[in-house]
Amino acid sequence: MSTVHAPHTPASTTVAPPRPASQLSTFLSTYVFSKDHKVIGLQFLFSTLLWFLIGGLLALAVRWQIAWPWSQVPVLGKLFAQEGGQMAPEFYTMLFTMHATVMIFLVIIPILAGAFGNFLIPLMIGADDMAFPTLNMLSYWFMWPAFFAFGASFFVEGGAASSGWTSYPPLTTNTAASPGSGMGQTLWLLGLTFVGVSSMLGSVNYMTTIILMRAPGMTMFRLPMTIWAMFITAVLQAFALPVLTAAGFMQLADRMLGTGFFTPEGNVVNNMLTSTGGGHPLLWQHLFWFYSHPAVYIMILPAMGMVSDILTVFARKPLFGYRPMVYSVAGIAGLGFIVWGHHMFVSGMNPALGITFMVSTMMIALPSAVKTFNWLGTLWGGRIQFTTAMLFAVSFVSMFIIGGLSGIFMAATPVDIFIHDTYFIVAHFHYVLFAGTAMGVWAGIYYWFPKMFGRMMNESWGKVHFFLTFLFLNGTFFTMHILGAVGFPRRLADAYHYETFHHLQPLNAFMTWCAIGMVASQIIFAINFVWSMFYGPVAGRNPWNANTLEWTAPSPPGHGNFDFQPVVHRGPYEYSVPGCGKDHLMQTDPPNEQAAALAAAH
Amino acid sequence: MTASAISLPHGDGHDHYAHGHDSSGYDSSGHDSHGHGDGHGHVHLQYQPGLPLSRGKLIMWLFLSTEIMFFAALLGSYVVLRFGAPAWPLPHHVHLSEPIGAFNTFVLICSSVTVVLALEAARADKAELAKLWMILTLALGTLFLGVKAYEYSAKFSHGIYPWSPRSRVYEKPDLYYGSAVRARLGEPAMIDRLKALDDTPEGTLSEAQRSGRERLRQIRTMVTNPDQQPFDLAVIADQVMPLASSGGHGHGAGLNDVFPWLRLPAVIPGGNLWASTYFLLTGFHAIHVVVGLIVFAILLLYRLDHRTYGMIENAGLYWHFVDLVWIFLFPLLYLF
Repeated sequence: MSTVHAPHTPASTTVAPPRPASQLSTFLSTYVFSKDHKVIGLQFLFSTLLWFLIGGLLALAVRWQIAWPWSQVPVLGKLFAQEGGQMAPEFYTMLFTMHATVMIFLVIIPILAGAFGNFLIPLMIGADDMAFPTLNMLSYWFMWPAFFAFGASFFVEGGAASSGWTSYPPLTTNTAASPGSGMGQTLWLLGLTFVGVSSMLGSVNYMTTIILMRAPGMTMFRLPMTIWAMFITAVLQAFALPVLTAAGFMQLADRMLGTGFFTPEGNVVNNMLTSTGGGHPLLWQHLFWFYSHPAVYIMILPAMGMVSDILTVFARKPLFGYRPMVYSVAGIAGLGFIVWGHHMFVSGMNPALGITFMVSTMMIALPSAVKTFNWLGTLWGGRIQFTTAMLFAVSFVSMFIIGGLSGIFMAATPVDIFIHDTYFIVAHFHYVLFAGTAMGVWAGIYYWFPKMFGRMMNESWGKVHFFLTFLFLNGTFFTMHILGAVGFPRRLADAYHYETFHHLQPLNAFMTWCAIGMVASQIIFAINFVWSMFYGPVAGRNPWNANTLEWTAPSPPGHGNFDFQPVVHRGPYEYSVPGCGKDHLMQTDPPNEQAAALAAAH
Repeated sequence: MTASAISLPHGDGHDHYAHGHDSSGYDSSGHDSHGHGDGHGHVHLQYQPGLPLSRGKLIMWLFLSTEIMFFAALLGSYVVLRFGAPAWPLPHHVHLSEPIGAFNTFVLICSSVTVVLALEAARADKAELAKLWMILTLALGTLFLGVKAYEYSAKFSHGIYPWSPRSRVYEKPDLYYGSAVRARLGEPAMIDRLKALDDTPEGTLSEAQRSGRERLRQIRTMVTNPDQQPFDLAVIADQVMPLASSGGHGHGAGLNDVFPWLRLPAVIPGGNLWASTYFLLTGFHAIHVVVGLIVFAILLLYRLDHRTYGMIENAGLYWHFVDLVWIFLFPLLYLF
C-alpha cells in the first residue's frame, strides 16, 4: 500500500479547515470513530470510569440498606423515588445485581483489557497500532449497545435484572419470578451478549498483534509482564467467553421462545407453570462458571502484569524471577479452566467431583504464591521510590495476599459449606477485585498518565487519594470477614430479620460510613485527573526512567506511535545493572556498554 | 511533542487508517517516512513476526477457535440434556429423516471441495474458473439451506416448534394434554370440519379414513367424558400419535396422519427438549451458513486471482469450519 500524506503540522498551528462539515468529520474521525489504539484505549478508560461511578453509587445504596434497613435513602433516594426513597426488597436485589453486573462487565473487564490493553499493547511491543484498527474500533463500539441495554434496564417495567449477577435459573428463566425477571433480565442478557462480542473482537486482535507485530529483537521472553498478562488474558477471553455467549443465547431462548434448556419439568414459580421443558438448572451454573471463573482471572491478571512493571520501575531492581512470573500467569490461566465447580460446592454435586474441584482450586495457590514471593523478592533490597503509582502497586500486593488467603478458605469444601453465601465470600472477592484490581488500575493510571496525556498527575493529592482509599477500603471490606465468620448472609434485604444478627448493625453502619468515605475520596482522584490533563507539569518521554518501549515514544505519542524504528536489545527489567554507569538500560539501548554511554551522551 | 495545551494522542487530526489498512495480511504499511522530529514523524516500522502467517489468516484461526468453544458449549449442553433426559424421541417420532440429513451432509462436503477448487484456480490466476467454482459453492450452500428449510417446515407442520405457545408437543398424557385436545376439538372451525367428516358418505372414504373416523369419534367422547380416567388420556395420546414403544403400530397410523387438518396435540416424551436442542443447534449452524454465503457473495464482486487469494483462503477456512460443525451435528442429531 502506498499512500502519500500531507506533511504534519502540530495541532496548534493547523489552519482551520475551510468547511465546518469537514471540521466536524475530522473531529468525529479523530476522537469518536477513531481507529487509533490510543484514542480507543482512552475512550474505554473514560467510559469505564463513568460506569465505575455508577457502580459505586449502586454499592452505596446497597450499603445504606444493610446499615439502616428500610430507612429513607438520602440524596440517592431521590434518583429512585420509590415510596419516598425507601427501597423495596426486590429493589434491593436489583441494586446488588446491577452493582455486580456494572462493576464486572462494564468496569473491570473493559478497563483492564479495553483501556490499558488497547493503550499499552502496541506501545509496549513497538507497533504503530493494533493489527486490525477497524476491528479494534468496533470492539469499543460494541460496548455501547451493552451500555444502553444495561442502562435502559433501570427504566423498564419491573426494573433492571434482580436475580444476582450469576443469573441462576429458574429465577431468570421464568418471567414471573421477580419484577426484574421480566424485561430487565432480557436486556441484561442482550447487554451481556454485546459485551461478549466486544471482548471477542478485542481478544483475537490483541493476540494477533502480540504474535505478529513485535519490534525487531522483542522476543516473547523480552515482553514486559503487562503484555504477557494481556496476552494470556486475551487467550482466556477468547476461549472462555463464547461458552457464556452460548449459554446466554440459551437462556434468552428459554425466556423469549419458551424452550426448556434450564427449566426443570413441572417447575412452578410464583404460581406460574413454566415450560414443559425438562431441562437442567444446573447446566446453566456449569456453563456460567465455565466462563466466569476464568473471568475472575481476566479481572486480575492484567493488573498483576501492570503491577509487576510498576514495582520494578520504582524499586529500581530487575523483576525477581521473570520467567517463573510468566509461567505462573500461564499456570493460573490454565488451572482457571478446570476449577469452576468450586462455585457449586453446595449445589448437590457428587462429593468426589467436589474434591476434584477442591484440589484443582488449591493448586492455583501455587502459581499465585510464586507471583507474590517474586514481588516481594523484587522489592527486597531495592531503592524504593514511593510515588503514588508505587503506593498503589505495593498495596495491590498486600491486599492480594489477604484476598488470596481468604480464597483458600473457600476452596476447601467443608469450610465453604459453612461460609457459602455469607459476607466472607463478599469480603474475599472485594479484596481481590477492589483492593486488588482497582488498586492496580489506579497504579496504572498514575503511572501511564504522562504517556496518555503528556502531563504528570499531582503526586501530593495522589498520595492523599491513596491513603484515604486504602484506609476506607479496609474499613469497609475487612470487617466483612468478621460478618461472614458469624454467618451474616449476603443477598438478603434485611438480615436483621434474624435476631441473631441484631448486634451486627453497628458494625454494618461503620462499614457503610467507610464506603461513603471511599466513594468520596474518589472526588480527589477525579479532580486530580481532570486538572492534570490540562494543567499538570509537562512530562518528557520518560519521566519515570523506565525501560520499556512506550517510554521511548513521545508523550503523548503521535499517530503511528514511534518517530524512530525501535530495535530491542534486552529484556524490560535492566535496572541498576552493576558497572553500567547508569541506573537503567532501556530495551532500545544499544547492546554494548560503550555504545550505551554514547547514546546517553547524545 | 511539547504539550503546551491539552494534547490527546493523535491530536494532529490526520487519520491515516482510513485507507483500509486492516484488510488482511499486510505488513505495517500506510506510513511514509517524512516529517521527522517532534513526535510527528511516521516511520515504516519493521516487525519480528512470531509465526509465518499473515495477520488475516492468524486472526481467522483465532476467531475460529473461539467459534469452536461456542459450538462446544452448545454441543456439550445437547449431550448433557439428551443423556440426562428421562425420555428422548426416536427420529421418526419427530419427523427426522436420516436420508435427507445424509444428503445435506453430502451437499456441504461438496461445497467444501468446490471452495478449495476456487482457491486453486485463483492461485493459478484463472479468475473465470475461480468465479465458477465460487458460484457453485454459493449454490451448494443455498441448496443446503433450502433442504434445511424443507426439514424445518416438516417439523412445523407437525406442530413441533421450539417455542411453547405454538408447540403441540406434550411430554405425557396428563390433564394439561387432555384439556389441550379438548380445546382443539372445540374450536369453531374444527367443529364444522368434524361435522363435515361425520356427514361424509361411507363410500367416499378410504379404508384408513373409515377406521380413523371411528377412532376419532371414540376419543371425542373420551375427552368430554366427565368421568375421564388417566388411562383414557393414554388411549387418546396413542390414537393421535402412536409411539413405537407403546406398541401402537397395530391399528395403523395416528389420527394426525390420517387427517392432516386435525393437528391435534401429540404426546412425545422428551419432544420439547428435543425441539429446543434441535432448533438451537441447527439454527446457529444455519446462521453461520448464511454468514458464509454473504461472504462468498461479497467475494464474487472481486476478481478472484492471486491477489484475492488470501481473502478466498480465509473465507474457505471459515467455510470448512461450518462444514466441520455439521459433521458433528449430523451424527449427534440424526444417527444416535
